[in-house]
This record gives sequence, structure tokens and C-alpha cells, in this order.
Amino acid sequence: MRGREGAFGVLLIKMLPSSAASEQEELDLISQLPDSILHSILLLLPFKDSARTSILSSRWRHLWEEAPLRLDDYYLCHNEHLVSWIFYSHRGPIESLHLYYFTRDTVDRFVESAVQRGIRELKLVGFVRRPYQLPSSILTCKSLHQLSVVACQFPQAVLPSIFPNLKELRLSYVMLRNDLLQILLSSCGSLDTLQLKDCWNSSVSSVSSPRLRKFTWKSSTVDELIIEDMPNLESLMLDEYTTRDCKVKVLNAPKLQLLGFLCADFQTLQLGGTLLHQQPASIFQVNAMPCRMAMLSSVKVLAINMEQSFNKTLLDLLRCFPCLEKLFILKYGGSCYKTHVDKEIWNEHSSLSFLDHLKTVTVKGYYNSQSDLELLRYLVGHGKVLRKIILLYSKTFNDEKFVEAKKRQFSVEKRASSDLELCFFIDTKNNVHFSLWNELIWER
Amino acid sequence: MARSSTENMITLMSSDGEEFMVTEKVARECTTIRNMLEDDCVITNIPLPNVTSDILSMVIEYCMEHVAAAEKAAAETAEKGSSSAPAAAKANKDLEEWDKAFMNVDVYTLCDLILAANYLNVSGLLDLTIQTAANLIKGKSPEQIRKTFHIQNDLSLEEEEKIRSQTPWAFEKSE
Repeated sequence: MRGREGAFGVLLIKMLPSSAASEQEELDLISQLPDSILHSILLLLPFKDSARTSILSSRWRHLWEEAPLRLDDYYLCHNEHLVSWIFYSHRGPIESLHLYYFTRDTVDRFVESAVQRGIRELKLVGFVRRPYQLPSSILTCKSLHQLSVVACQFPQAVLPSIFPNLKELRLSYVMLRNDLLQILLSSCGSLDTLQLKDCWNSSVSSVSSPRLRKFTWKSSTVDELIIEDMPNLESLMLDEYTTRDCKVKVLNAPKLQLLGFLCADFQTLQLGGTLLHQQPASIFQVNAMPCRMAMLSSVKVLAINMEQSFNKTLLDLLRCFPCLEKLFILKYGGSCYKTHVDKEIWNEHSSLSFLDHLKTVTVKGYYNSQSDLELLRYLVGHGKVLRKIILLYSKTFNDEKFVEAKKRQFSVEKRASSDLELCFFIDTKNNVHFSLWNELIWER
Repeated sequence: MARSSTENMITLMSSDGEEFMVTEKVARECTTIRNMLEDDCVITNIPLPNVTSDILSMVIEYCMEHVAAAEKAAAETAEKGSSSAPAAAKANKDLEEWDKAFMNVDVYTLCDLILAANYLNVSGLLDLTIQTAANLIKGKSPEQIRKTFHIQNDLSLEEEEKIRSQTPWAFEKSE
């Protein structure tokens, strides 16, 4: 024990004066906290409040200038003069910098200085009509962890190693000419999250990344998207049109857990050795090679969008995800009351593997059509561990009688699971029950 | 189920000599102690000369509550396969409420807790306490902040004027 006391000695820091009640009256304990803690407190404040603390006392006089700075010009009404003033009157490291619609010269100057001051997070928003080029100083910045770029261009010659420590990259309205996307993926060694929105791509995008965990792709024009090798990919989020309008191939992503949207009217969808391909005559081909089925088993959360009513295509799709736990369905054109539903289909598929795992189903755009009811009966009747079905219906159904009638109806249905709960909610924009996917849904 | 083989008891001793017996799991919430345990696994008695008994008992209370909440969530997940989202959200909210109530302390205790959380390296408690301190500053005038924390203004009028003229935007009454 005696030997150990020496070790503890290293850890000792000077204790504050003891807090006996009588002595406390006028003690200024906060000013005695170490600089690093006061910096952390200042970092949690809006920067005006943070800057204002410099007048508290001599102890606080220079704390703000030396604490990391978060500067967002959005809250300064794009007042360039003010942004400059704050930026240059502060001497500490830059935690984050958000710049909207500045001229290129100004952006270059700010970014260059921010790079020298160890910037961790940068957001640049340019004009879509005349995007400015990313300042070259940022490309090699070692401190940068997050970069968000709207309407900017990458320089013609991209260095072999860029963004050495970047974890999150979000690009919007960026021209990804040639194989820029793959260059970015292979040169950013630490990239964990990539989000592309409204980017222009070459017609075929074939991508691989050793580290990437989350990949989001919204309305980025491409004919074919090939995820070649992403051993750590956990989440692949595509907007509702991508699987309809382009070919999606996922060749190797053994850890993929979350996938969506898949469009039930997709062209070609390849997952590992499984190729789903819709023929003109609406026949599904599922060529499953057993050795690659593991990949599909990894998927726990799936989102599907359907233009039409529920039918056999949905079941053929679900068959490919035997361990599915959560299913989200985005439904359009629900007014197909007259759709012919072949009840035999449901009976033939009464023992699919996913029914042993599926726990929740959320349907956005529930219309109470015949085929909607058929699907519900199918899930209620066969989902052995199904706990919750959430139905988001249009406002026009905002009628208590409707909900009551539906609840009564399903309370007498034959149920495979004993503790199933059926919930009805009005469908609203940014519905919390669909929040995971709201970002990818287009207004119609 | 929570009572497993890791139920070793550790004695923590405060600066004023009071002893606190806690489970190893609770003690491990403090990264500083966890590192000591990992360096020397037979250690069972840890003196903490920087922390008074009042403050140490609060830190332990915080750690116990958070360990219990995590164990409860884990048990539910194990029982049902996966925790249901609403139940998890409720548990989170309960814990948040608990944190909020826990932070109902005077500024002296708050500052002592910040120091203890920093020294013992309890990241959740450190985040909670510095956020609480920030909330006491946010939106307040310099006079109000000085009063809250008993800060003595030792700046001369000239110096104050200089600061105001250097960063006038910080003192605008816009908000």
C-alpha cells in the first residue's frame, strides 16, 4: 500500500478551500476552476454570451479569447464585417465555422486561418449557380473531423491523400465528376459517415471503402450504383427514387443492418449473391447463392416504398431478409380499392423466416384499402413475435369512428403473437414514427 | 441477474477520512478509478484525497443511479430480445429527470462536483455539471452572473470600457 501512495500522489491536484457553510458566503469557486473546464463551459454558450464573460473580472478577461470558438454566420445574419471581427478578435482554436454565401476570397482567407487554428468542423454554403472551389488548405487539414459542403467544387487535381482525419462528409450540389467519389472514399482513411444529396455523378458509380459505416444517397443522379466492398457498412440509405430509377448492386457489405428505401418497382437490385430483377412481366427472379445469404441475414431494419398496393412482389422481397426485425413501408397511390388480391399468395407464404423475427411494422400512407387489410391480416396472423404495428393514415381519415372500427376489427382477428399492439396515428410531415426516413422522403 | 461474479466491493476514502463501500461496477464509472483497478486488480481500498465526503457521496449516488439504469435497460433487452422504443425513451426521460433533480444544488456544491467529476473522470457527470453551470450564465447580464457566482469585479472602469469597445456586438441588447 505504501508504494502505491506515491502513484496516487501524481494524481493529486490542489483541493479547493473546504466548503464549510460559514466560510462560503462570498467565495468565488467558479473562478478557481481550471482554464480547461471554464473553456468547456464557454463552449456550451451562444458566442455572444461567451464573449460577454470577458467583462466579469480579470480572471475571465482573456478566457473567451482562448477558448475554442464556434462561429456560425447564420446567426449573425450573414454580416461579413461582424463575422470577421469576431473571427479575428478571438485567438483560440476554432471548434466550428459555418459560412454562408460569402465571396470566394473571403472564404479562402477564413478557411486558411481556421486551418492554422485547428478547425474541427466546417460548413460551407455557396451559390448553386456559381459554386466556388474548395480552398486547397482545407483538403490537407489534419484537425478537420466534419465537413459539410453545399454548392462547392473540388479542385481539378485531387491529392492522393486528402482529409486525413475526416469522420463525416456531407456533400450537396457538388459535381462528382469521373471517379471523384471513389477517390474521396479511398483517400479519406477515417471516413465513417458519407452523405450525398443532389450531387451530379457519372453514370456508373462503383464505390468501396474499408471504414465507412453510414452511407446516405439522396437524389444523386446515376444509372448504376455499385457498392463493391464495404466491410464495415451498417447503414445504406437511398432515397425513394434511387432504387426505382437506377440499378443498385451491393456486392459485399456483410455488416449491413439498415437498408432502405427499396422500391418495389425497382429495376435491378443485387444484394451479395442475390439478384432481384424485375422483368417486364412482373416476375421476380431470386437467384440466391447460399454462401452469400449471410449478407441478407444481417439486415434488421428495412424500408420499402411502394407505388402500388401490396402484392406478391413485397413478399418476394421480404423473403430475402430472413432476420428482419423492423419494417417501414412508405405507400403511395393507396386508392387502389379495386386491386385484385389473390388470397392464395398469403397462404403460400405463411412460413417465411422473417415472420419469426419481425417485431415492428410501420406503414406511412395507410389507406385501409382491400390490399392494405390483406397485408395486415397476413402480418397479424403469421408474425409470431410481432409487437407493434403503427399505421399512419391521411388526415382525411381523421375520424374516431374509423379508428375505433379498425381497432375492433383487428381485435378479433386471429393473432400469431400474444402481445401485439395496433396503433393508428395521423400522418404528418416529419412524422416522429417515420423520423428515421423523413429526410429521404420528397414532398408530393 | 445483475448480481454476477463482478460483485467485488471497493472502499473509497474521502479527504476527511470517511469510507464508502461501493460495488466495483459503480466504482468503475469513474475512469480514474477504473484505470487504477486495471493497473492493479487486487486493490480494494482507494484514498481520494481531493474529494470531501459530501461530494463523494453525491458522485457515488450519481454513479449508482446510472449503473442501475443501464442494468435495467440491459435486462429488458435480454428478456424481450430488444427493448421497445417507447420503454427505452421513457427510461431515458426518467434518467434525465433524475439528473435534473440531482442538479438542484447551490453553486458551491456545483463547482465542487465539477472538480470531482473532472478529477475522477466521470464523463456523464462532468457534462451534466458544466452544462448546468453554462445554463446559469446563458442569457444573463454580467452583473447577474457576478451575483450568482460571487465573482468580484476587479476590472477598472477604463478596462471595462475597453472590453466593451473591443467586442460591442457581445453587449448589444438584441436577445
